[in-house]
Amino acid sequence: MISQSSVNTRARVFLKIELDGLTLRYSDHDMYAKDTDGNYYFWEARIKSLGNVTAGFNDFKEAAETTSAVTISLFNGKRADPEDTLDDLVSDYFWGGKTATIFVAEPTEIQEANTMDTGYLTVGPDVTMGPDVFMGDYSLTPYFAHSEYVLADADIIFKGKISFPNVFSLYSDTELEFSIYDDRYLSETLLNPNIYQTGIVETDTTYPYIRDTDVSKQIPVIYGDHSNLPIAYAAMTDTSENLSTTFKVADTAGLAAGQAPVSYIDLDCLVDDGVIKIYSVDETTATLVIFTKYLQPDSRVYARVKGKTRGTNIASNFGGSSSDLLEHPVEVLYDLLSNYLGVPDSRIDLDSFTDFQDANPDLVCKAYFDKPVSIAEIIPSLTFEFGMDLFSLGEKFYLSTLTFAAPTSVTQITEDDFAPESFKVSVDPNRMYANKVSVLFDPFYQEDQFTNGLELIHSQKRSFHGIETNLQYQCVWNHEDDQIVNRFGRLLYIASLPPRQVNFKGMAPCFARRPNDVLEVNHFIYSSQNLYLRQISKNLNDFTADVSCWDIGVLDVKDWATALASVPATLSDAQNASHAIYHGDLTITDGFNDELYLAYNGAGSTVVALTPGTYDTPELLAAHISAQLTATAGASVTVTYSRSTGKFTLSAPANFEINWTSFYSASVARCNLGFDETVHLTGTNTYTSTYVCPFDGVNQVSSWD
Amino acid sequence: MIRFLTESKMDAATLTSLSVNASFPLANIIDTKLKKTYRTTGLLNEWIKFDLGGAEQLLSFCFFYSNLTPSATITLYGSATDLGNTEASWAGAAYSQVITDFDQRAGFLDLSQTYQWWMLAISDSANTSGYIELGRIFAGVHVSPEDNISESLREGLVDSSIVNFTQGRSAYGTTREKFKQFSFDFTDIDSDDQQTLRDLFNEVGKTEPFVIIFDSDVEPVELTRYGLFTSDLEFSSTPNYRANCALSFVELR
Repeated sequence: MISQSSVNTRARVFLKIELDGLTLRYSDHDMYAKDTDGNYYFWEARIKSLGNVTAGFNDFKEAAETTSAVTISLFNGKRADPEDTLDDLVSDYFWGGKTATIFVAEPTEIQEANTMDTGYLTVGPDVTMGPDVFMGDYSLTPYFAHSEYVLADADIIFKGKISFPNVFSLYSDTELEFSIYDDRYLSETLLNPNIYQTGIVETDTTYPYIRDTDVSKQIPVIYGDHSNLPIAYAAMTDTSENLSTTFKVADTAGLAAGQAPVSYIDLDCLVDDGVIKIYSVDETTATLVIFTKYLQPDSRVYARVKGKTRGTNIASNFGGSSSDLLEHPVEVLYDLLSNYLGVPDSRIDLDSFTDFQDANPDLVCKAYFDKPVSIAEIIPSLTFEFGMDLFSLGEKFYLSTLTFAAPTSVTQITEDDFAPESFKVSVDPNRMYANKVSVLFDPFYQEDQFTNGLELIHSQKRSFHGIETNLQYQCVWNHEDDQIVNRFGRLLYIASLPPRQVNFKGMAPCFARRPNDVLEVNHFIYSSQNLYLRQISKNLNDFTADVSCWDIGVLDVKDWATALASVPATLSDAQNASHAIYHGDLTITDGFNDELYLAYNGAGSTVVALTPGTYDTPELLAAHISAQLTATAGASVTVTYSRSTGKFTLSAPANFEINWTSFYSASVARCNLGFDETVHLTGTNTYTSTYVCPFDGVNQVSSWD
Repeated sequence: MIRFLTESKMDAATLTSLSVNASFPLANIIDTKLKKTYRTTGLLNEWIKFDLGGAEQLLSFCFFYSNLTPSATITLYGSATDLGNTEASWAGAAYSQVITDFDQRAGFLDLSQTYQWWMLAISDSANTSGYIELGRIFAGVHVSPEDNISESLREGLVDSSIVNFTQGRSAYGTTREKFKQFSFDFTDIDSDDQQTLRDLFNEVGKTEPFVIIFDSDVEPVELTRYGLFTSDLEFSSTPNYRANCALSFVELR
């Protein structure tokens, strides 16, 4: 562990390469050190240079995790023995795809040298120089210290596989250079590699009765609940000359222990344009049987299904039943890493996975893969669509998310933690500013064929800037309206700020930081400002780190609150028109919503006029309303807005009433502040909104289907 | 007088020892990498025996990198025959000499002996490590020009550590090894000495590690270094077919 508090470090870098039948051990210094098996090995000083180890993300608007890869350069030249080069190793062993691990270790024991302190030098024929000429007192210097390094106590900085097929990017008589990548980027493993074959070739999987039109089609892999629509194409897999015909909907290959390819097949299926009853289903083989009499020669059958089950490993790691539907995105991600990329549990930080799931227990995802798709392609879409930040650090995969609650821990950064002139602030350098996000739906997944997506609009920013800037996405996995609003609403919030990027070169205390850490900085324009670390690039030569953070505001509760549940499901057109504030618009419009009706302390109802215009914040609007009510009442009527609850509160020294008269009358332009219009406010001197008033960019984005 | 020791007779020897830690084999004492060390399993009466295959002359005996304490007893024995596998059995060897000029960086013995069998015996009861560790043994016949180096020997102690300063003017260091580098001159040397240097440079160039003993006469261990030339060989002529020559040398760790 690189000590974060020490000014100096004697840390050393170790590289282990596991070839078939041979393990290479290199360092930046010749030394013996204990490997993780507890045995001493000699680590030869062949490391010429190591590229930075980077973990994290480029920005927020796309699944842009920084590729986790490290470039390594080794000395190839001979040291003393003409045969002492890497040439034989390159020719006799295959390096591509082999595991390489980078460790950094501090010494566990340091023995200062025992050296002689003075001496004499005789030069020339007869001249003797005395002890003070240049000997010095070497016994005071740690000149030849013995240091013990134990890799079991070391940090694994990176573990990956040597690139393949392009193994060596540079190979000369002096240097050997190659790169190692984390497991996701080396593999183009297909999620669904199996296709329907006719058995003509002897080794093929045999479906002799498969229709010609289905030959070489991918056998689908299905995740999540698709039972609302008959989307699962059923391929006929036996002869139709029998009384019943068998169809297949999903692949049974590539399943983890205890997994079934589908957890449910509905007995109602779609045959051509009609619904018929299935005779029998078998979820373990993903097959269904239909009486042949219901079929035409070219009938197309579609079933309503629920996809893969969780299996034994997921049930063991995340709890619950192995036979349940696999649909939580965290568990699906684990399935992809573990089952398809072969990442062992020891290399997945399960705590961070379960933490994310515990914080978001109700997330569901679904996807139907009947076209060839690689794991490396679908993992980024899965993580991005659910706001899951997956990154590899050391030898493990971690899952985190930007917390929109107050951070539980922060690391303070001062001028003593970064290099001079390295602290730089850029406003929206990646040009992600947007005041609108559109999420398009694939009609394949939608019951309502006329629903084309969701639009999330930051109306305040749009009106302020006068230009609509749109980010557009199409989701592969996320098809639930409330999940999309929650996830992409947060993205819109960040994009509309616009965000500022802070970069600096951090010293040793920053070396151990990781993505989504929160740094608190007092420097330049910032006073105790929280910065979210999104990318860190660690330098293994001097143990500094290039840190990239984003100033996306104090993402605590006051700036974000999900309020959808408090919004009435439907409002009339007139209610919509007169409830502009209710819908998050801070605009007072003449003749529209610019009046309130106040009866203070037993007096009659009096119209209170509000000044038309757009108010920058709900607090400013509340202050204006307070001033106008006070002027009318002749007493202090306080109006406040709570960002944490999203509600207005009106209070005064004496009882007062707010009358909602003449509902739905276009001639009455009253300003509702989230109150139930069917209930006059009366009987007390303090009232709080019935409904949450979520204001765009404050704590809510508005959404329209 | 300066000595250049370019070939170690021990590299071709058959090696045996009293004890060896299997993770730190005996062959490491003739490995060119100093930190690739040999370790015993004990501290008393440990020995390493060298069979050179035939009688060979040794004029300089050096070793580099050890964990020896100042109270260690180190004795070099020489014999025409193998006297056995204990230090006691070598007590009557034709040649024996206690090595007193040593520290944990290097050890040196000046001798002029010719034998086939050699034993290096070590006892170090005060060593808290529990074992004796040796890096490299380098012994053989050196070459020396007739004329010694001039008085202008320049020595530097280089720290290869990396230091980063912060905005707040504190500093973080990555501590690395220090090493010596030397520059020295031969002034007005004759053609025979020039040829000696040419032969030397042809043999080792700038890639083959060798041993320099700057002063073999008086407490030379501080000036006994294992390393490489870092300069090319150049002569600048002086009258009467003589020449000056400047060389640079860096220590290997």
